[in-house]
Amino acid sequence: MTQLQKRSFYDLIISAVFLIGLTVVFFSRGGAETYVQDTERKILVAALLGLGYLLLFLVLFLVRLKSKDKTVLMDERDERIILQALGTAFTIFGIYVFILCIGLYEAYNTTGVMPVGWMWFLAYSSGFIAILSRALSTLILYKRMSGHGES
Amino acid sequence: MAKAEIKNNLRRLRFEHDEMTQQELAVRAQCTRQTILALEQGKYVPSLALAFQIARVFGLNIEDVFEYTE
Repeated sequence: MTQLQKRSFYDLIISAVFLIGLTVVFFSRGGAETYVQDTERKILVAALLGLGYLLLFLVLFLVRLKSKDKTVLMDERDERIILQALGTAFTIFGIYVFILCIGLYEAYNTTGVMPVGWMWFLAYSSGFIAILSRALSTLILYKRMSGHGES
Repeated sequence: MAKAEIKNNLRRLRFEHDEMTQQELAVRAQCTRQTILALEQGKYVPSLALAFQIARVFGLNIEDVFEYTE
């Protein structure tokens, strides 16, 4: 497993766990309608968001991409995978935002008033969706562009 | 348009060069061991620069290491 694969694996786990956590907390006790008035829930979501990003930041330091000896830890194949994964992640991110916005429009089209709590959810979740889709795309591309064998 | 394929003789060349390991080749060609593995399994096509570097490690021309077939 390359360093970039390791980093993507940890990013995938962290972003998936915190995205699920955020979603569960957000939709508990009344969901978007009561979110803005619920200070306790807002603090909990903010804490989850902060902790999630802190862990993602720690992964950047713990999984090194530089080597002290002559071993190359990242080469042209890794760079190609990064670029392709970013392109895929950007598309997934765009689709997610589009579907959520259209869904909200359809849901609140008749009333003409949308709970502002949904904006919080869009902001919080989109960050983790972007990281999750990038990490997942990276791991899939590695699977397609590598094999297992001798050392 | 016919699908082109780039094959290589890396595995054979490594064994002919004192059973050079993938790691040794990777260090000398300035790439990762995983890239050498992917090349040998035909799952990755290298850039021209990397192809030249690998050929240089074996002291051969690029055509002796990589083969273009249609």
